[in-house]
Amino acid sequence: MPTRLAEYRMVGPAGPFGNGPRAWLAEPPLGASSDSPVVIVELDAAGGETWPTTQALLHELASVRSAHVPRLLESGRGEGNEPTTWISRDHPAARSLATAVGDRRAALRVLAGAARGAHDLHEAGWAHGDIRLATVLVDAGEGLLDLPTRLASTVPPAVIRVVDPSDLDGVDSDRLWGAGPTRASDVYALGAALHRALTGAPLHPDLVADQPVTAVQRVLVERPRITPTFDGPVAQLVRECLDPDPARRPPSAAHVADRLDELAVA
Amino acid sequence: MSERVEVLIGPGTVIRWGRVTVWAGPTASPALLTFLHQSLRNVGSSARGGRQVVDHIARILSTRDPEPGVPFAAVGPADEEWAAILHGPVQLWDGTRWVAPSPQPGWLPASLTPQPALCVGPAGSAAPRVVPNSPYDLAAGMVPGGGFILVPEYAGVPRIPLDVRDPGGVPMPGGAGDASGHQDASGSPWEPGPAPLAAPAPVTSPTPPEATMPVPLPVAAPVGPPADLAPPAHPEPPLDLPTPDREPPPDPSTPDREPPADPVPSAVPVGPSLRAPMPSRPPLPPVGDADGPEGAGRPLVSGVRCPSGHFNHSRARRCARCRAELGKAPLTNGPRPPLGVLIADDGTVYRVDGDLVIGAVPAVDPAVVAGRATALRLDGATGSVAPTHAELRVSDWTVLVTDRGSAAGTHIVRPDQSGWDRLPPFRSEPLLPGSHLAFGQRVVTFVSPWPADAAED
Repeated sequence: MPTRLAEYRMVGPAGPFGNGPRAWLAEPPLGASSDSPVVIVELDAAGGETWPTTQALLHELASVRSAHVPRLLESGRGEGNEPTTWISRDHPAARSLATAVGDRRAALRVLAGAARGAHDLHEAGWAHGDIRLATVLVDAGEGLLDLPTRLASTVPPAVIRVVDPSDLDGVDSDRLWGAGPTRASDVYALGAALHRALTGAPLHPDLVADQPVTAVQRVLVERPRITPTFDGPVAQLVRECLDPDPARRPPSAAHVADRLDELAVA
Repeated sequence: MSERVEVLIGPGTVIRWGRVTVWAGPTASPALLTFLHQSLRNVGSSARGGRQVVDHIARILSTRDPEPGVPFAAVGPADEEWAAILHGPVQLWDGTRWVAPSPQPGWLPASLTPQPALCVGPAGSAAPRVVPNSPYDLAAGMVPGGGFILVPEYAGVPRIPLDVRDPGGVPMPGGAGDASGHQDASGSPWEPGPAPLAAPAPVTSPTPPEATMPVPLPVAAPVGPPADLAPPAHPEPPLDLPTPDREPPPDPSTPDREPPADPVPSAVPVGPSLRAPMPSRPPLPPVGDADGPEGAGRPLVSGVRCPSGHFNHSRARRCARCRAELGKAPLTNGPRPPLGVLIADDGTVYRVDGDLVIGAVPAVDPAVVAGRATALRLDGATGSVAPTHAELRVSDWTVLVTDRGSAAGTHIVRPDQSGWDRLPPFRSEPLLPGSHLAFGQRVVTFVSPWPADAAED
């Protein structure tokens, strides 16, 4: 762990929030508008040639305002031939739903908050593109959707980097065939995250961890498999979100959030 | 209304006439400096002098670059914005982004809106900081300098510290932490410390350069060997154009950031730029939009639509998105969907929806620089993947692969074969779904939702 990054002093690890980015808790710089710690998240390494693009994207992302998405505070880039790009954000006490422990009702409420965050991003012109349990945050029992950290992908045409086969769970076939993230693909990912949170099982359970190429090829042609014992209205919502035809999925992430809120109090 | 031009200490030359400013690196020839100086004298007082200088230099460079690799940059007003041209290993920070020629050496014209300030210097430099009431304030002329910061000033607006940060690199000569000259407020014995922001000193604007500008001169013959380095001969008369809009001054109530007590080891923040106002994006298209958000702007090709409106290849039997039977749908034109993906051996999936240049350093390829192709970087064992190893070109529904004459070669396993064949260099071949490609020691697999014979169109 670095001891300092720019004007921030690192005080400990944060997260984990995902497979790729590293995250630390840090004290804000002297004179900052708040004394609260922040979270420094290292994005996927950005090559020098993509930095202006990355910076422009981060600038736009910082203008998104949502109660269900952390606020992007600052960003920067390290030195050297392979400089890392990092951002700072608020909600330092948040944990990811992948590690947070809670009951079914709490998970539904948290995912409802994340879905509202996704909707706010959509309304601001952003598709998240990386919704999974590791990017759903829990802060004081409330759900948030972490900032998208793959916008700074080093290679512009990269769709996904499969570190673990379960990374493919939330990627619908449109995306895997090369389309960019959309409202519909984020709704699909919300359904996949809901399935994983409540069943603990992946949608493609037979994939082998060290064969990423085979995993991608199988997911391209195989339908996701909802756990047979998973039934009821929540499972029905999952099925709707995972519909192969984007037009038949819930019309927005806000609709998913409303359904989840209803299910949480049912 | 004018600007402050704060010269940064360091090697090179800063030239300012009127509202046009130039920085040239220490390797600039006397002929180049003379050309730049004369050009600014001629058109610097014009309301769009920046545009005139930039266009003139761009015309010369588009024919021949007399001094490739020599860093220089010119910045000046252009109607309602600012124009700049950057040449060689030079960079410009306009408050929100870096602008630099890529690849270097190269050259790049750009349009800018300084917000709140703009800095120019050699590539790799960083972290200049505007020092209130800096004595290094160039009104007109040519002086030694390692770069400059251009700070707009506004009538009646007091001068306050502007925290001009850049996103990375080492301190720019004269920037924060550089003890050689233009020092940070906290480090200079001459600086009485950060000024109280709530009660800033009144403006003491320098004499407007326009008032001291010489009458634009007719151009003399260019000095020195490069005969095509001719300054713009007849400057356009100053136009009665509205002054470029400026960013509002920073909120004085915002607490100033003190510099860190320790040297910054690895990065510097972008800082205020992320909080600058940005025009908002339009909301995403609704769920079920048949062509998706990327439909607009894609090339139109012939195909068929499924009952839900999804666009497919004419020989596809089922819709690639909703799996509906396509039957004998009528041919129509539509935005071409992605033609498939490349699955790399490390599990990264790359879309194929336009021309790709594949290699270890594909960003240097002219097609990538010109925006006609996208760089797909593959890292391999040292030397196994050439900087621009191969290319994929897309034509209608067909993907063509071509080896770029790489030393290690591009090898292919076609769907109906089991062994590797080396592609002849510079000869295109249709890439069929299911093919494996090897670039040096890296292997990718091309898969596509479209029928194999579709790739042979």
